[in-house]
Order: sequence, then structure tokens, then C-alpha cells
Amino acid sequence: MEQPSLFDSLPTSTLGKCVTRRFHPSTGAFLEAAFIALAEQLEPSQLWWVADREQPPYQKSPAMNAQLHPETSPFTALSSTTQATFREITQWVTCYRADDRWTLLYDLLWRLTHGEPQLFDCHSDETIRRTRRYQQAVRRDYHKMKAFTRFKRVGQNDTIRYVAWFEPAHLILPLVAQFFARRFTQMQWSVLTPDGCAHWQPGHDLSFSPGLEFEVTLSDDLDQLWKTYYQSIFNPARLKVKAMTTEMPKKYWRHLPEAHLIHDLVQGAAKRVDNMLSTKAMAPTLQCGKRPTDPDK
Amino acid sequence: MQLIEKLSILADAAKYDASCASSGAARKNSLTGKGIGSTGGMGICHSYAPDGRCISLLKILLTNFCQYECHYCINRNSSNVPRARFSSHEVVKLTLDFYRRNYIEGLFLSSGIIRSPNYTMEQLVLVARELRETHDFRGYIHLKTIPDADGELLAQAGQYADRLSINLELPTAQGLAKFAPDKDLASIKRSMARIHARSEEAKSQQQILKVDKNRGKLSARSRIRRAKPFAPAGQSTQIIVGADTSSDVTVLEASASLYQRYRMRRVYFSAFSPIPDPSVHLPLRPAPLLREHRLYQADWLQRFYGFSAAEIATSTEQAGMLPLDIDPKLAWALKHRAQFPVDLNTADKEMILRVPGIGPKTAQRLLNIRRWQTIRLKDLIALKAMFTKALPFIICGDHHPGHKEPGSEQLRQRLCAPADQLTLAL
Repeated sequence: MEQPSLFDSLPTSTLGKCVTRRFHPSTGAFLEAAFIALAEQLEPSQLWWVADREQPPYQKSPAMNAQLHPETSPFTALSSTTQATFREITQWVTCYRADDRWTLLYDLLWRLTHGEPQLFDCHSDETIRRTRRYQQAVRRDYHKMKAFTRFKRVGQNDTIRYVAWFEPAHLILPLVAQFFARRFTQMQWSVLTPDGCAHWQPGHDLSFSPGLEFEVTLSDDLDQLWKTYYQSIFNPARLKVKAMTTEMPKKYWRHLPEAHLIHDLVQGAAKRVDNMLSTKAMAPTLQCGKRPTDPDK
Repeated sequence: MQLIEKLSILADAAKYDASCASSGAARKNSLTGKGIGSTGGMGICHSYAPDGRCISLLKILLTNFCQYECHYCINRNSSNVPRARFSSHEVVKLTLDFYRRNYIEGLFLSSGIIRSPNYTMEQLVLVARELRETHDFRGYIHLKTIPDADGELLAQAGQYADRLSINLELPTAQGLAKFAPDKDLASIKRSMARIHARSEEAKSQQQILKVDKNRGKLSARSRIRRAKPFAPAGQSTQIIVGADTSSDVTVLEASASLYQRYRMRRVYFSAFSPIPDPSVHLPLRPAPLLREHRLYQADWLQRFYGFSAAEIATSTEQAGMLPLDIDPKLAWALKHRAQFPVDLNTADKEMILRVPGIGPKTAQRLLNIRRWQTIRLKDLIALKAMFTKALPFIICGDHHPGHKEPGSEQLRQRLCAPADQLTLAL
């Protein structure tokens, strides 16, 4: 795993003292490794974080981590709010798709425990800003994946399964799968991504299989109804294309059936408004019958 | 009539309702139970239409037949739009089918008035009940409430729905009498008050239950009064802007009183937009969308910045209208130059929130930072505050606007927003 930036600013003499830490790339395993390194007083510049899928995943609950070395861990000396904020941030940042995330998190942990316990207040600090940026990016991706994952019904009767293909920007499949497990508990479903696939069967635990190299294209008869809905709910008199693309960037459009309609809807809007504006108002004739008088009044 | 045709008519009929929020519902999921669905926390927008509005719920009318003659409405009695009616079963199936594919967060159901207000309301409640009871649906339900319907029906609606709403549509009694002669302001207000009272009652009952639980006992009293939630996501309403001649000040006063009296979660503004087959009683000319945008900004100032409606009124121009070329917060600051510059290192939060270009999040962050260090311009840049807008109004570690700051009129010229800044998330 490459981390070139770590060496750029280092004097060569320190290089020899570098310590390599291998850990399974998950929040729990990383936290464990980080707390151990912290207890050993290893400075960020000495450490070489190597995420390694071959390592055993962390088994215990992450809450136990700080208790590993209670006497020596300066982490437990931090206020409980700061500890909680760090854990919360770590959960998100470990999903960020960039190799420097581990270094960044250990940097943060080091500074918090070495004279800067107030660091989370310093929103203009470069480390904080980068951490928050990573966190925000993952949260947004998580939110958008919950929104734009579209399940297609495949199979018949007893074998009905809802299957979706999605390409998340970050490593959020487990998080999103848990969300769908809470939402679609009584359905059989699979979410397929290049990073991995999640499968749900009512009454069973979530299961995961390796990612797919090729995009899966699926169709569903219901899409016609959905497209009709999309077309009808659009108000041509309020065209705001930029507002739409800010929230629904084009990179998502490929797998949204309704997105194929956007071009024509935008092109036709002006004409539809012109038609409305040039319609002459007619004297009213009731179409739905008279309003019956309310017996109570 | 085919289902697809009905959907086309009845979604088209529902699009003038601005509300589509799916937020604020109680946390629930389907880990227990026989059905599907979950809600809680942030709403989710599953798509966006080219009008920039989010599509979070299946927003439809049960029917667009309507006996009322509200002139601004596409479904008014005399309109010659095609009419259709869903059966409750069709709506239930459509909702579940879309939901299973993760197209929507739930259902927004409204209706034209047919037969009687009570009958119409019954039909709406029927759909919600079928979803909740027959299918154990735990997604979001927003029911439009028919103001003239019985209190008992309202109670049932609140039991099934996450959110209830009644649209005020016009900000004044005169406007309502002129443009919606069949609607009755008194009964609209009565229904809003009822919803408010019932949800307060449900909340306090749940509070009692929680306290008892924390004490480790469930008293006989709380066991009997199994606290049933009532529209946990509260109520909202909508005001049409530009159909009548009401000024922005009138609209904002109306919305302020709605927030205050009925604890509305949201008051939506909808710029009157042209409809097919318009009424003779209405201006054909649509209201500018920018006006709606400015009203929302003013609404935000009331909800998140501590401004009162009266204060916002001081920043309006002739005839009580908000300026269109600058935002209402900047307009207020330009009219109250004496209160500026604000020293970011010493001022209280209330005053920092009044600085143009600084929002609630930035304000809070500045307070955090200054506990440890002096705030300097580089901090503002790092926080991505709207720098040029804020500069003439602030003092910080390495900045003082000094004597050379231009007069308000010049400042205004300089800070005029480019015309395309029109994207405010709703």
C-alpha cells in the first residue's frame, strides 16, 4: 500500500526507525492497532500503517479498545465528549476511499492526546478540516446511496428477490446494507457493487460476497409507472435545472430510469408554459357538480 | 381507466403542493413486525425533477374531482382538466410497489373534496389505515387534512400519519374569501389548533411514560394510557405567493403567527405558477420565483437566526416587499449599519448571527475557535464563510473595516448577488 506523502518531509535518519503496523481495514481493528501504538508512544512520523485484508478482523466490541491499556492510554484521559467525537469521526473516515485515512486518524489521535485536547474546537486547523472533509464526503455518499439505490424485482412467486446495482464512491456497503436490513426486513434483496455484494434473507444475518467486476443492468416492469409519475410531478413553469443537478449529479443518472426523461422535459418546458400563458381564461362552468349544502350549517 | 393514466392525472394534480419532506418522523424500522419500512432523522430525497424539487414521497391525489371552486387551483370545480379517482387499494399497492424498489420514502396523499368533507377525509384515513394495519407499513405517511371534517376523523388521521397538513393558501381572510370562497378560515384555524393540541397531548403522555420507565416502573396510569403517537412529524402548511396582492410583510406575519400558534414544522411558500385552463379571476402573470426564494430566506432568518417578523419588516422596501436584488439579511444589515462592525472575538452569538455571510454553523464554529485562539481572517476563509459579504461588517484579529468603508448604497451595489443564485434547498 502506497503512502508516499509520509516520507516527503522526513529526514532520512528517521526512516530507519519506522515501525510497520498491519491491521484488518475495519474501524475496530484499526482503533485497536492505534491504541496499542499510542500506548507504546509511537509518534505519527515513525508509523507505517498497512491495511491488510489477511489480518484477522477485530472481534471484540470497539468500546473495549480504550480499556486495552487503561493505565498507559492517554486516550482515556480525554473528556468523554472528545472520546465519543473521535470514535464517531473514525467510523466515517475509515470508509473514505484514500490510503492516507489511517495516517490522518492517527495524527488526530496523537495531537488530541499530546497537548491539544481542544483540537475538535479548532475548525480552521488543517488536520481537523481534512478529517471533517473526509467525514462529510462519506456521509454524503452514504446518504446518496440510500437515496439512489434502485431495486429491481427479479424471479417469480417464491423466488422473488429485489436486486440493485450501485457504485459507491466510498467503502460504505456494510453501512448501507444495515440500513436496508432495517428497512426491508421482510424482503429478500441483494445490493451489488464493485467493492462487494450484500445479501439479505429474512431471519438470517446479512451476508457478503466479493464485488462484481462488471456492471449489472436490470429492468423492472414497474419502471414505466415510475417514469409516468416523474413526468407528471414535474412543473414546467418552475424550471431550475441547476438545483436538480446539485442534488442529483449526473454520475447517478445512469441507473435512474427517470433520468432518461430529463432532457425532453427540460426542452419542452418553455413551450408548455407558453401554451398555458396564452390560454384564454373561460367563464367558469362547474364540472364536478354543485357543492351540497352542509346540513350542519 | 388504466392505472397508469390515473397516476398521470393524479400526480399532475398534486404537483402544486410544495411540501415533500420526509424528515422529522419518529425512529422506526421493520426489524420487528411483518411489514416493511423505516423512518427517522433526516428525510431522503430519492430523485429530483427538473424544477429542482425533491421527490421523496409518492405525492398524489386520491381524486381530483372537487366541489370547491378555489380560483388558483388546477382542480377547481370549473377546471376542464381530465378527472380520475384511485381506489384506496390502488394507492396502497402503488405505494408499496414503489417503496419496495426504494423509489420513495412513503406516501403524500391529498384529495379534492367529493360528496362531503367527512366522506373525503374518511377515504384518506382508509388508505393510511390499510397501509399501517393490513401491511404493517412503517414508512412515511403525510396526510392532507380536510379542515371541515370531524375532529374524530382528524384524530384517526394523526394516529396513522407521520405528518398532517392543512394549506392556508392565502395569507389574509379577504384573500381567502375572494379566491377560495368555499373554504372557511375559522375551520382551518380550528383544525390546525386541534392538531397542535393533540400532538402536544401525545408528546406529554410519552414523556410521562418515559419518566416512569426511567424510574424502573410502569405505573398503572401509564399502562392504561398506552401513549399513542400523534403525527410525530408535526404539521405543515403552504401559502401561495402572488395570487393575491398581499405583500411580503403580510405573508411573513401570517407565517410567524402560524409558527407561534400552532407550532408548525414548516410553512411552505409557493410562487403562484400558471396552470392549464386558468381562472378568469387570476393574474395570468406568474409570480417571480426569486420572490419565493427571498421569502424562504426571510423564513430561515426567523427560524434559525433569531430575527422577528417585525425586524425583517424593517428591511423591506416600498409596499412591504423584500428587495429582490439582495438577500433579506444583507438588507437588514445595510439598514442597521450603526450596529456594525461586529467584533467576532467578543460579540455574543446573537449578534454574530446577524453578520451577512455568516450562517448558524459558522457562528457556532467561531465561538468554539475563539475559546482557544484569536479569530483571524484566515479562520474565516478556512470556514468558508462568505468572505466578501462579511468583511465590511466585522472586526477580527487582523481586520478592521476602518473609516474608508463605503456608504450603504455603494455597498449594496458591490454586494448585489449575481442573478443565478437561486438554488436554496427546500
